[in-house]
Amino acid sequence: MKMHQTFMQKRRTVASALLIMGLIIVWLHLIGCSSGVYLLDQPVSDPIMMADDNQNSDLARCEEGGVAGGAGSCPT
Amino acid sequence: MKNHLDELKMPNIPLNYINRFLFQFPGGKAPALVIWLVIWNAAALAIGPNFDYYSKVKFEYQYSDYLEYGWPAAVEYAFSEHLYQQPNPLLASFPEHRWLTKVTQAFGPSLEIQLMYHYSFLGKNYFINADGSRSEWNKSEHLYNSLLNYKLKDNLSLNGTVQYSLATGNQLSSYSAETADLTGWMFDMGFDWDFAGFVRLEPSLSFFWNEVGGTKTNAQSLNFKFRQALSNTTALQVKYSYFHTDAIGNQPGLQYQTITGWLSQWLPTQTAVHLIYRHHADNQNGVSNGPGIEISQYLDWATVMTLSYRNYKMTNDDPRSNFRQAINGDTFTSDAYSLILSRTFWNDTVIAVKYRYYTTNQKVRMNTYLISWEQVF
Repeated sequence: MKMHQTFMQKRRTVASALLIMGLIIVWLHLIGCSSGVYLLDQPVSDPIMMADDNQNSDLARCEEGGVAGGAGSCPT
Repeated sequence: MKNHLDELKMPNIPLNYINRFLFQFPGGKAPALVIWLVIWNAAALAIGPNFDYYSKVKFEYQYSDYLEYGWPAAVEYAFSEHLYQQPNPLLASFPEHRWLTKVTQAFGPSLEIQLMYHYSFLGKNYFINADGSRSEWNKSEHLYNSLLNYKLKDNLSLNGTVQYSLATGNQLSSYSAETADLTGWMFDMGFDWDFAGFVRLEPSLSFFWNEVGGTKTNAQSLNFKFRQALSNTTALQVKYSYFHTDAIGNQPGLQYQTITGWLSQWLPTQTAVHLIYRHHADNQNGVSNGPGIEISQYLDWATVMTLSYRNYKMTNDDPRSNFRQAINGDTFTSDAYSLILSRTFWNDTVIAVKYRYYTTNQKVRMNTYLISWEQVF
């Protein structure tokens, strides 16, 4: 087993690390991390965009697949 | 062999005394409730309008008009020994009448307490006996729920729930017409972490203790909800649930996993579209899939109309399972169409109405009507 990397191997390692970091940054940007705080004022935070939270009544939520407890308070 | 669950002590809270204090008024429970609400609201008015100390009261009533109801053991057919309706909410029967009263009180900017009471009345259930004769019984359920929500930080809150339920007229087994009362306790604790609208996490853990006909069961449930904004108009939400009950004697325990995904898209027409997919699998060979779509539309700033459609299909390849014994064939399918209209009046009143048409490949078909009124003081 080699204890020391050659210059070319080091360069490849650094390039791979930079590439992975770059991909992570691009992914974070694509999923909205770069504008996270800003999203509170955007349509994605509108009440009717909140999927299972606001689409139903308290009673019907249980029948449509809700769960007991803090998330739904359905009968057991 | 002695079941170790028999040694578990159910929490013993003198509900009779609470019930007597709260509801023993001339005329019954309805006038008592009105009197307490008047007292509550007078106190809220005395405090005065304060953004941090608001009170909220909500009433809901739902009526299901069964066009057809011929399923022999619709309520607890699948896991009758455990008597949990929870695992299959999409195919449990729907009570004929349901009432809900919910009071929410905020104590400052960080603390909110919610008290809720459900009453469900299923009406007549029919059970086909071995000799072909038919038995009838009435089933009703009272559910008392309290929820505490405490804000630890601006974007992080902690919630805890204690719930007591009493259901009468439960069928002890899918193969017998004998009934017994069910008493159940539930404790739940969870977090809600909302990072500025773009990532939201809601983990929670629940514990259940139920007793019916002298048999005690306990169960645990783990829930995890994750929401990710993919852009300023698109969001993805995933909810995962794991439910576990211990074995009772020779009866194996029940375990199931459910995963539900929502893809939500905002359109420039003030519309939200949700594509839904739910997958459920249990350790008793039951597998179900439920795709659906919801469209919510702002008709004006105060009025929202929601249209939804959901399909549900459950199959079980074990011919000996309770599921297969209770239905015709090996597959249960249902389709549900609903319309909700919700309108805000004077900024502090919300009134909503809902209509749903529900049909199955078995002998269950119904219209459901719901009205809800929410008032902020």
